[in-house]
Amino acid sequence: MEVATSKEQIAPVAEELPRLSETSRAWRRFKAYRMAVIAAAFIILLCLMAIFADTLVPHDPLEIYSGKRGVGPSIEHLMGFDHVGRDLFSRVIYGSRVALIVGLGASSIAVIIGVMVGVTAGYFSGWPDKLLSRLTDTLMAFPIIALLFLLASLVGPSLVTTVVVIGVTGWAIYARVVRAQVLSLKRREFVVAALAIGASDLRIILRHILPNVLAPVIVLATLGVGTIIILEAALSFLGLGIQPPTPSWGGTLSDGRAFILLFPHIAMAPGIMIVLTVLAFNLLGDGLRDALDPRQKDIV
Amino acid sequence: MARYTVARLAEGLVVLLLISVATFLIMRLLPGDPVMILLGEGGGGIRMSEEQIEAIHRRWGLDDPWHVQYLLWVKNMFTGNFGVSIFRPGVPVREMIFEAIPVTFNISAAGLIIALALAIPMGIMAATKRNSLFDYAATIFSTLGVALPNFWIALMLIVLFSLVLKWLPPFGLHSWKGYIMPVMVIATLQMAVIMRVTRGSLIEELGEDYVRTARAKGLAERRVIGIHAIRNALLPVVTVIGVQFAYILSGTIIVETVFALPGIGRLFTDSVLHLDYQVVQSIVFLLAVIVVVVNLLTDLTYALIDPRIRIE
Repeated sequence: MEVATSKEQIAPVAEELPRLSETSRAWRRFKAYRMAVIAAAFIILLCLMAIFADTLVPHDPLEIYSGKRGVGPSIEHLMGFDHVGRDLFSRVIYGSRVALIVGLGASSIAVIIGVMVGVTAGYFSGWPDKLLSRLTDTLMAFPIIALLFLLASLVGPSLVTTVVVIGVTGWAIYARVVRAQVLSLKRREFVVAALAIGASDLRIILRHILPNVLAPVIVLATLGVGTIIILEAALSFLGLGIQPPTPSWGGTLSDGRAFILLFPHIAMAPGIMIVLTVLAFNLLGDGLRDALDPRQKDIV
Repeated sequence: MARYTVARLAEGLVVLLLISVATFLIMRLLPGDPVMILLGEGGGGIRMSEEQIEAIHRRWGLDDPWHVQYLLWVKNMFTGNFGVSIFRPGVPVREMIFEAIPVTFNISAAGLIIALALAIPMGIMAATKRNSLFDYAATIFSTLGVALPNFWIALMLIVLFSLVLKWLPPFGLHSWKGYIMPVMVIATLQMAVIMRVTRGSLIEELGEDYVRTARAKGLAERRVIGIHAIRNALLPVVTVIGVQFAYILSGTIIVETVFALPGIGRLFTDSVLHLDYQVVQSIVFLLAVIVVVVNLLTDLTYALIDPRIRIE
């Protein structure tokens, strides 16, 4: 085979090489993880469903059809009716709104608090680290459902309460991971170099530390959304999450529990939606870990 | 080992202190006068004069500065003096808790033991026969297991075993059969987690040099895995059990509510709904203390069996 030597021959190749940057290589690894792509597609569909719920639903989720209490699925009403005679299919579609709002909202709050705590603890070692680390341990010692249930009852259950309460109690895991990352980053050459040329702590944290902890945080946050959706459903299931008549998956499951022996179909659809959604976020998280953080690659 | 133990104990004590402060603060965030809360809404139909209310304040130390109140509270909590229930007047909280503990203990212990007994062999099989049909099935199970909400598993079990097959009672604890479904729910999630960790950690160990050495000197594969690799592979499982403990307790709250079992979790949710904060604070505090102690024990066990940990 002829070896390319002239500029014309090398140029297109040389131009192509740097284009295979970290981002595009990450994309390639991501594509290789097919389950993650399917999961991402499912999440996008779910988001569209939540946004356009108003035009998508075949029936009003709050309308009560008289004489239809607990009637099973039919072509007109794909998932049947709930215990008071509302169309379950429409309620399940609307339920995706609650799941996504809580899932994304609460995990944003948790990530912000967790990253701030973790960076502070890891960067300024000494007493701030000791205090914040013990605070993290303390939070993790409380059984999370008990804490959420208690806080929701104290504040008064609502959508906002659910988001905030899950957010402010869910940051411990981010704090732990970020702290560990920062501890090892702090000793790396580029940080030491920045310190040597007199960069301020704030600059080092914002420019050198934060971008490097982003990848594991994104992975954890994606995995965390699934957990949070389960927590929200659990809280609504126990009666202190989203309040009726607002449709939510956990709330519908709670109705399903009360009538499980009479109308078992009520508990099916919302449960399956929760499982699929949580599964999608977990698989996407696994895929992102392989793509963004090859060193942390799970043994598959 | 002694130095590690002391350091770890000190950490545990600080966490216990913070737990007591946190629980105390949460309960003091309650709006309104504790005496009024104690009497229930609108004074519970009992009319009291200003002097009577003040007398109660003095008796319970509610007029004392907050740090005095806190110290008294801590002393009561650690001596097991949990006070008297508000919802069931006159019944000591300690008695209510002691009545409920066996149910919760049985469910969580049985769930954890069954999960360990099934998940560890499954994890070992999956790791040694990688990419086999069994491995795929086990991986699908563990991926699905962590995505299944325990309250939904519970409902589906009721549909299957109580409604369709009519084998088991759907609610209550009238015979040993009442334990079967709750234990299955707790065990499922734990199995998924423990299997995943066992499999991952054993695969990692099998790539280590000492395993290659053992194989190279002609040891039978059963000895290589059973004697050498397993010991190291099971170390992370010890940690996971400690971490999972808080989740198991969370799980029992849900499971006891679904199946209407008279355990700690049910007592807790009922007490929150009845505004029986005397019971609530005792349970929250107790559960957190149990989690800390279990974590401490697993960490110390880990250090005992793996000397590498102590050096850090």
